Amino acid sequence: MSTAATADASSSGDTTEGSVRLLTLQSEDGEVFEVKETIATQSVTIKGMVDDDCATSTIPVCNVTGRTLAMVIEWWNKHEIGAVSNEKELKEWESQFDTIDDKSDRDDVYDLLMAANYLNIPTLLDCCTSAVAEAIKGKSTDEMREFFDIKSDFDEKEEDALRKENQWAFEN
Amino acid sequence: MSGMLALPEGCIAAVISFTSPRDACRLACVSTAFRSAADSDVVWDHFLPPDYLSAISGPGSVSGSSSSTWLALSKKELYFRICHNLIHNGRMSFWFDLSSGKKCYMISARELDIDDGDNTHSWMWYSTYEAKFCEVLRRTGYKPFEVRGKISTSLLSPTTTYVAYLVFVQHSVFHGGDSPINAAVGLVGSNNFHNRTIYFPKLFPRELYCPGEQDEDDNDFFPKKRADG
Repeated sequence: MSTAATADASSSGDTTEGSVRLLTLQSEDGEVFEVKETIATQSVTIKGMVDDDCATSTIPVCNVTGRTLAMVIEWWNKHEIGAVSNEKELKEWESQFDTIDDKSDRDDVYDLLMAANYLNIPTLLDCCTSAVAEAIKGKSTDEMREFFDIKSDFDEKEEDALRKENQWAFEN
Repeated sequence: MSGMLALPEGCIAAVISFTSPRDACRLACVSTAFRSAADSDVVWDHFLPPDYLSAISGPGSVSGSSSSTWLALSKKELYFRICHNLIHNGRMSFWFDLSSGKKCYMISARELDIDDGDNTHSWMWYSTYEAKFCEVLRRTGYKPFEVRGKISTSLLSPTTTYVAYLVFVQHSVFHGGDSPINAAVGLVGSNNFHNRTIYFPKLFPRELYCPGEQDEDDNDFFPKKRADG
């Protein structure tokens, strides 16, 4: 997966470009992005702020780094109505999220999930959740732990009880 | 904490609800955080068919007393309860297929239209503890007969290929021996009938089903025992 920042950094607040209003977003690590309001309102959270007239100054985007926010903005640009010529082209572009075998790709998807959740971007949330879900389908519990890079925090007794409770899923 | 576990539980649950009931049960054994998300109502609500509420508590579907008990359960418990226990209204029973969550129905013999001309004395209604419904139909005699069943397609899960089964028990003094029985299966009103030849083994188990339409090309059938009787 490769992405690039497509928005120019700017320090100003609420500006306009032609007749299109620009919003200023600031990532957790201080990077500033100027984004067209028509694009940024794909985020339900930002749309709410615009509707309530709260988007006049810099909007802080907590828990999201500049790197991730750039990926989010790229997503918005691709999903702006009329941005790509057809559905097929969009699906092809989205297919980069389908392969998350590398740990770095997985970390990008987790970061995007966090951003999509915080900013409430349903299309991005669906794309990332289904990408992770597809990758773990059919895996054993140990393979799932390896995939998510986490260790079991159950003691032996608890794990035995859980396996018994969910025994059906371990058959076949 | 980093990676997947840094995400709010709602996000983890959203991922799990895109998997399957089997995957969700395995994920519940991964760690405490995963267990909490994998057992949540959000996830299992996703696996339950969208109209399960009307299927278990709608008019004429199940008795009111049991449906209120069902709704007090967590969604995961409810899912397994419906998979393992038939919901019953005397005429029709309903359950989910465990892996797919698709709806399955069994129709009582009382709801079937059975016709073998005027030979009504070869049929007899009786009750048995072995049956799911309070009355079953006993058939004696050898004449061919026709069974028609009807189910509203609105009850079925969408975009699903259904298979019809005829559930029956062989009487202990069955005289059919080894001779095969010819059967034809098809949709009422269509001429597209599939002909089958059914072979009964000598030591035939008492509880059986006979696969109906939409099966493999092989036209010869050996009835099988049902796991649930």
